[in-house]
Parts: sequence; structure tokens; C-alpha cells
Amino acid sequence: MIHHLRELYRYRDLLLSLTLRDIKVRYRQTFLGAAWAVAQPLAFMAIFTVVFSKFGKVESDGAPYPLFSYTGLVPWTFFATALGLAVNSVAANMGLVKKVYFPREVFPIGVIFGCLADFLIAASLIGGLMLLYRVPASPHLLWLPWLIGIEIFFLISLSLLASALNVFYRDIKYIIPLFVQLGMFVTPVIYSASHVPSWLAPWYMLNPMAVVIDGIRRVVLHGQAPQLEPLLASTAFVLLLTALAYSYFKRVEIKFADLI
Amino acid sequence: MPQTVSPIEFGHVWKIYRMDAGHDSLRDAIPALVKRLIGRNGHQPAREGFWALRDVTFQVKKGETLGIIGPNGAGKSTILKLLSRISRQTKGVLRVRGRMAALIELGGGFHGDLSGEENIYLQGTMLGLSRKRITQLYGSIAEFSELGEFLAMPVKRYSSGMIVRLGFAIAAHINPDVLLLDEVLAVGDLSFQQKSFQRILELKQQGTTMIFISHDLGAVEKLCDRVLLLEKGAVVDEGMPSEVIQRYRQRVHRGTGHQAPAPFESSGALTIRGVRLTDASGQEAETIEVGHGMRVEIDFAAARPIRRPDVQVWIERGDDLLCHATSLHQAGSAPEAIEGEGTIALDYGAVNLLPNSYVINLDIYEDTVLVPLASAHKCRTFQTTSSTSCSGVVDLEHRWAITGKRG
Repeated sequence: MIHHLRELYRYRDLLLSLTLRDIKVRYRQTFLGAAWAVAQPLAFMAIFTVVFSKFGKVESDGAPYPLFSYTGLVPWTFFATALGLAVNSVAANMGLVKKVYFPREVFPIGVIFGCLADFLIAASLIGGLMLLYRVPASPHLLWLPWLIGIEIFFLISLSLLASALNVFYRDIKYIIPLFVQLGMFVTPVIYSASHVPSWLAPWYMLNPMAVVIDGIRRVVLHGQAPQLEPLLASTAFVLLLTALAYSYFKRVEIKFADLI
Repeated sequence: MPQTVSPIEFGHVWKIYRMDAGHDSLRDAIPALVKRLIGRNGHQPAREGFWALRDVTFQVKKGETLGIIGPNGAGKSTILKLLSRISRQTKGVLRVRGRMAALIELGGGFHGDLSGEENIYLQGTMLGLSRKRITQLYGSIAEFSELGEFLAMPVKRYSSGMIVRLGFAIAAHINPDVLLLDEVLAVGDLSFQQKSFQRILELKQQGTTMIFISHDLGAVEKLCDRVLLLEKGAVVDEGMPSEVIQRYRQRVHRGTGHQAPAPFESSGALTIRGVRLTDASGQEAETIEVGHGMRVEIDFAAARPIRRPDVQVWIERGDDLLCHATSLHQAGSAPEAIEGEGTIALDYGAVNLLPNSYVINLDIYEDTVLVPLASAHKCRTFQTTSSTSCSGVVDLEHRWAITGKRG
């Protein structure tokens, strides 16, 4: 494990190159460029605001619904996009996998970092919305890096598993989008985590994305700290999952090139 | 004693490729898993496989250049894949000491939407260089590629020749202790090929340990200190380049000799009874001295008179290069008709084909009818031998002269 990480560190510039490639290729020759990073969550925010706060009256714990939904949509869009792209990242590069040696995890991880750039652009708009809706900033915003860290490690672990399995079973790349779509309903994107029945809450919070989005809403909208117990449990779970996923990936990656 | 340690060691290495490696869809995988769980834990049917390498053992000493030759599918590229850690051996020991890099045809790694410059960074980091190092080397890479201002253009607008030049320019700037080269010289136009060859020679002079894989036996002979001949995954010969290459040509020659004589094809109107090859002394021969004479005799039997017969005879080298072709009509010596049994003879005054193996093919036509009456393709094989040290395709008469002051 240690020597795999050391090797990955040696190839850090490749990771950077791949990340830059993804970002450049995505926005080159597009008219709006990086504004697309903001467009998707913003469009969903508009739709959700109309449908769920005007038609449906979904409670947003007293926060303005547009800001409430945007704070859920930005991390969720990051999760859904990155995982959806990462799953095929190794299989789509088989030509390279058969010709050059480098640690193969740079493919899924590079995709995640590329999407992270979009996420940061979209997330910076949260500041603007806070000003607009006069939501005061609090020192609890310092929890954000931790929360985003959980999401990144969760993404890395799922992407490592999915991209490796997808080399062996091409079904995986069809399963993942389905799984992501269903996942949105067990994650507090549209609604608030406070609406989950209390008997279900401990189970509900086993989903790291639920912890992340609930945590982000607490620190951004309400100036509170995240719930500590789920935060620590999620952190431990995600780190363990990453370690397992990484060791699985490294165990099978040598077989990638033998598969035609 | 660092000089006794070989940078590359291959000890009794075997590699199998499974025909059904993995399962392509869960539909196949789940039943297989269930079967395994239910525990027909008796003997799983041995999975189909193909041995790409069988008990291959060799070492490469520091600063040495080892050539690996052999027919397609012999396992040459598998050796490079194992060495560069793209794939893992099934059995055996494999050791590489020092920083290693593989120089292979890499055009596939470029991204069409990125410029040449951006691709230099992407590709360079893929080969293990840091971005800082690439920035240092950038000028030199750009110059080597001869792409100039095109480097600012997206690679998707490049011609295939430009892509090849960009790929080699990057690869040529990695300075490893051990360098693996797979068919890299077969790219680009002639002047770029020479430049690439020059660059490889430079690396060799700098003491880089190299493994060179190529079908270009001439390049192998010039570049390598030692050559390994691989056939069907096993080492069948090893030694000095010129000797191994000579023996390889003989093997190929014998191989085609075994296939031949291809049955003479005949239309019924005309039958080829036999084809003889004789040397200058009139003896039947399989070996001809370069520059000496050779005679081809074709025995035929015609069931009816054949009007204005045409005989076409052509000589191909072992690698299918057409070396010479001639026909009776071209020579203007076709008789009005032939009938019954007889012999057509073709005399070559001097066979100036440099040492290699060659095959003789012939077709017999009636007048200008497009379909031959009888054919004998690859009917005779011969080798040429020579004591001169020229290389290439043909032996040209030549003479040197130097004018000017002598020191």
C-alpha cells in the first residue's frame, strides 16, 4: 500500500496533466466555457424552487429554498458527474493501458479532480447567494474542507471499484447511473435531512453523501457545526472503504492489459 | 561489483493468455460464480489458453543492446509488456534494475482537442517525466519534432506523419538507464527515420542498456550487440547479430521450402511437369553466389497447340518484396505456337540479389488471354550468398575514388 502511494506520488504530474486535460477539453470550443459548471446546478435550483417550494411546499428549515436546494445540488452534481465519468475512465483508455506503464488509478482520480474544479466554481456562487439572501457567514464554515474531503474520498473509493470492475464487466457502466439516480432520493438534496423519521435517521446517516450535504447545510445556512457522531463515523467508513477499494484496484490492475 | 549485475534478467519466464480472460458481462459471470459457490469444487475444466512465452531466459548486460527478432506472434512484444510492467508473467522471475522507459509508437495517447504543446506535457508525464523537466526539455523536443508553429494547433488537425514525429520527439528525450524500443524506426519519412536512428545511436553511446525489437533486420544488425531469435514463444537461437540473422533467414527459407512445392495449377490444355533451378555450372541448386548465373527450366506438356504463349517469371524475396519480373512477350521472343512436350529455359546472366532467401513464381498464358493456362507459384526457393559486405537489396557494381591532398 505504502509503495503504491509512493509511486502515485511520483506520477503526481501525470495526475495534474490528466486533470488539466479534462478541464480544457470540456470547456474548449464551448461558448459559455466554465459557466457551464454553474449552469447545471443553477437550472435544477430554478426548477426545484418552482416545483418544490411553490407547488409542493417542501420545508427548507427556514432557509430560502433556492439557497437551500443549491447547497444540496452543488455537492450532489459533483458526486453524480464525477462517478458517472470515472466508471468508464480505465476502459476508455485501453489503448494507453496496453502500451505504457503508469499507475492506472490516475484515470479515475484525474476525472474526480477535473470535476472538483467545476464543483469549486459552482460552490463559489454559494457565497453570492448568501449575500443576496443576507445569510450571515459563521466560523463553522471552516468545517467545509472536512465535509468536502469526505465526499472526495467517497468518490475515490467508489470510482476505483467501479472503474476496475467495469474493465471486467461492462455492465457496471450502466449500473452506476441508475445507482446515482436512485441515490439522490436517499440523500437530502430536494428535502431536508431533518424530515427523515428519527428511527430511520441512524441508518440514513450511513450514507456519506447524506452526512456531507446535511453538514454543508448546517454550516452554510444555519451557522451550526455538523452533527459530530455521523461525521466521525462517515470519515472512518470512507477512509476504510478507500483503503479497501485501493488495494482491490492495485491487485487487479495488472490484469487490465491482458483483457482484449 | 556493480558491473556484474545485469540491468535486465529474465529467468524461465512463461506467460499464458487466457482465451476467456474474465467475463465480458455479468450474465456470464454470475452463473460462473454460482457454480463455484454451489461447489462443483471438483476439477474446473482447464481454461483455454495460449502460451505467449515458454521458458524464456536471458540477461542484458549494462550498456548492451539486445535485439529480439522473430515472426509475428513469436512473443516479442509480450517480453516488452512484461518488462515495462504492463502485464505480469505467469511463471518465472523477472528483474529490471535502474530507471526504465519504453519507446513505443505512442500516437494513440494524444488527445485531438489539445495542442501539440499541451500533448507534449500530457505524454511526457505519462512516460514518467515531471512537468518541470518537460519545461526544461521543451525547446529541444519542439526542435526535434520539426513542427514549429504547428505545436500551437490541435493535434486532430495533424497529419499522421506529424503525429509520429511529435510522439518520437517526446520519447527520444527520456534518458533512462534501460530503454525498450518496439518497432520505433518504422515510422515517419526517411529523413525522420534517419534522425530517429541517430538519436538511438546517441543513447547507445551514452551507455544506455537497450532492448530493440524490429522486423527491420538491417537495423537490428547495425544496432545490436547480440540477438535473440524467438519462435512461438521460445528462444530458438541466440548470438552475434549477423550469425543469428543469417540462420533466421535460413529457417524462413526452409519454412517456405516445406510449404512448397505448391501444386502446379493447370487448365488441362497445358501442364507444367516440373521446374528446375540450376546454377552456373548446370547443377540443380538451392544456393546461388551473388553475381553468378542461374537458369530456370520449365518442363511442359501441351494437349493442344498453344498460340503465342507467354511465360511470366518473377522473383520475390522472403518478405514478399518483388525483386524482378520478366515475360516472354516483353522480351519479344514468343514463338507462334508450342505443342506437345518441351522445355522453356530462362537464363539469368548475373543474379545480383544480396544474401537473402528468394522464391520463383511463374504463370503461362495463351496469347493475351488474361487467365493463365498454368501456374507454379513459389515453386522454387533459393538463397544467395556472398563474401562481400554490402547491404541492402541488390549488389550494384561500384568503385571508390578520392581526389585531393592526402594527409
